Amino acid sequence: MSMTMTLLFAFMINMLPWGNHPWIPDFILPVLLYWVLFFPEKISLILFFLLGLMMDIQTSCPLGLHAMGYVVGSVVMFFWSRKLLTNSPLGQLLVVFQIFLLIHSIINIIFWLLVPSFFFSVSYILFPAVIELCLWPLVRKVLTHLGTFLARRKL
Amino acid sequence: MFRSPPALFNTGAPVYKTLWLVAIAILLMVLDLKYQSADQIRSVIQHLLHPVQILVSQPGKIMSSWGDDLMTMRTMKETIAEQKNSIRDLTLLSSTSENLESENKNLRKLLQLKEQSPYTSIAAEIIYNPINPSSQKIVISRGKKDGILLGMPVANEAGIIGQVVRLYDDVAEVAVLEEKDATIPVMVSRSGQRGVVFGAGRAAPLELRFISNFGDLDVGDYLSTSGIDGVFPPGIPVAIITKIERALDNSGAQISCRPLADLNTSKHLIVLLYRPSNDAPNPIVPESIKNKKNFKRVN
Repeated sequence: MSMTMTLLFAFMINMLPWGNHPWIPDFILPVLLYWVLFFPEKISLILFFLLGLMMDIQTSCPLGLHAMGYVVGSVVMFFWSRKLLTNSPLGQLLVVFQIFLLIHSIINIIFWLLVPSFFFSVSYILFPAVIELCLWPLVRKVLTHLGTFLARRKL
Repeated sequence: MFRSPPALFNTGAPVYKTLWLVAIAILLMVLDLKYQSADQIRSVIQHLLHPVQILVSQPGKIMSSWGDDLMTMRTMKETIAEQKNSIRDLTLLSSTSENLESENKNLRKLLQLKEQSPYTSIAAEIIYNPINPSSQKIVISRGKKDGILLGMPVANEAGIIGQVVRLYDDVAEVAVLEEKDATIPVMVSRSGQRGVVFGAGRAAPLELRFISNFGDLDVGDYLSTSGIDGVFPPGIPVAIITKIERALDNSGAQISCRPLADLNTSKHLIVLLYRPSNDAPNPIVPESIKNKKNFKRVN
């Protein structure tokens, strides 16, 4: 439940009128990876898929593009999540950064393959991934605090 | 802290689920792009998203209204004076244009020319620009409910901004002139020569093509819609020529132009509810061509 709410909140932040610039990050991704990394037993791929569809409509991309990126990215993260928990914080950052890059490159490369007028540029992969990496510690802290807060209230 | 192993290592379920979801995603993409048949799904989800979109666009609006509130008395007075002047000019213009219109009508009747179809317009607000690497689009606050149809032109007070390319019940997506492969037939206002303006992608100048190399063109000439396409009404300003590079051989000139309407900063715009007259040319395709086997492309 809290996963759905936080993801929807991140989606609403995405919906703010940011304008069409290459560096605008996808605020869903850090939240998504947080849940996959720390609560792999909780995640629901269908929820991520639906979120991706919503994102496709919001950004007027071909239907299913973000959905595919989110699903593939979260599954790769899922495979790595157990290994990662024992890693150093720096290693964790590096892997998370790779997943951000992976998801953005899936979206951009498939878009480029599908749409002939697409202007391919690395800035659309690199810049958002860097900004999402900067958001990652913040998102992690906020969501951990939220989790402990909710757990205390239940007890 | 004890962690149970992820379900993935016990059963193969998530792998199959992933494959299924990826397959569905690919199917959706193909349906959407090649056959345009995913519009139903799109409009359902868009319908659900619409209230949130409106809610989320409020902070920006409040900010800009604060900016308006902070405007000082002097600038306010200045703008009011300017507006009074422009209203005076416009009333003068409109009275003369009424005269001209009636004269034009009479002359057209005399010459037995077809009358131009009149059109109305509807004001719309920009909700947001989708973050999309492939195109420059605008989402506006009017849709099917307001009588908008696909392909209708969108403009602001300075000139054409773009064209409606996707339609939902409450909102519509507009492709701006800068979009790659966007085309609009134009006419040089001064000389009446016709050509076509092509978009060249984000922040690149527009290109004027299909115009004679030896034509009477100059930097600073205004281009307006010619109306021969039946989509854009004639006589609406589009762009201004900024650079002409004439080739020495006969290959044609490279003409760059700049859109007159500021595509990135305008907040409000108008959709021209222009329905071209019904007797637009409708080519009859001969049976021999309909059968693709008999049809050979002539280059």
